[in-house]
Amino acid sequence: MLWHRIINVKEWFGEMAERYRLVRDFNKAAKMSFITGEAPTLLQARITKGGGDNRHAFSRFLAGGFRIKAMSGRSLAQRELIEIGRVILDNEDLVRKLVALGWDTLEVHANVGYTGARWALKDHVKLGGWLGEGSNA
Amino acid sequence: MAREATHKYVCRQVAWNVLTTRQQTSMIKQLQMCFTMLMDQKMHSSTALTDDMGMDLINHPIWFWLFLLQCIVIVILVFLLVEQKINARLAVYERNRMQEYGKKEVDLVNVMKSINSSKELYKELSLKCHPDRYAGDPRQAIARELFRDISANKRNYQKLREIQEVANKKLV
Repeated sequence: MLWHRIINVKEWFGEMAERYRLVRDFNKAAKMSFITGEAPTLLQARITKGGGDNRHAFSRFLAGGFRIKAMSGRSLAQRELIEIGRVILDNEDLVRKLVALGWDTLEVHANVGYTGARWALKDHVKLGGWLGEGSNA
Repeated sequence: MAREATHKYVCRQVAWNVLTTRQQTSMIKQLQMCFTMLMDQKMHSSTALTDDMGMDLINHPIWFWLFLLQCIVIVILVFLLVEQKINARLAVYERNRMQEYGKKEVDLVNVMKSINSSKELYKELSLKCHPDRYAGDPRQAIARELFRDISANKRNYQKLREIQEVANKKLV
């Protein structure tokens, strides 16, 4: 029993480390892409509390949001925000990894302006329909 | 003998193997107590021994109904316990499956390239490999297949690059 609890605690810390590693790797890739000139805009990822309606069985409490902030210096148009979000959502491996590590919401916004886009990850995870059904992005 | 038979019957009813030793012991004690009280009441009550079954049911002592109620509650609890165990097993399976996904490596450089460059590459390839460009040409079938792949990997830069290489070889 005690051993089982120890394993659970170890898994919890392992998942937390994996979450921060993913955010760090994303930011590193975005930085490299910006430095080499491939990307006109620097992207920055961070963990937020997420949307309460998007929760699923693996959601982290108050840390279910994966927010991508585009350091564009201007307000991004809706189609630009959606394009960034769609690239993440079309990458099935990344979406599954995000869901597995406790994220439930993907948020994209610019560093200027008040518009942003938000998706429920459970609608895009495609795990045979056991996490959620339908799509309402 | 009758007492033992009743005891075995109740044991079978509550799926004995599922319960822990402590639960089993406490249940045996409770059942024995109820059974003893019931038998005492039966022996002392003359109305319970009548031939009329309808009257017999009505005239059962309160302990009988309590015993019956307790049996029903036990059966419900055992049912819930079994269901919970099945669910727990499923949860472990799902958790293990999700942990596998959590440890899987994702190419984030490709994600960045897809965000920044996949749109242009998609436009270029969709123009280059559009099947209508090869109408009446034997390469049209290849172009149709490539165009299907391009549409499926619209936002995947790496896949689009691979398709571009194939298109350069086959659609020259």
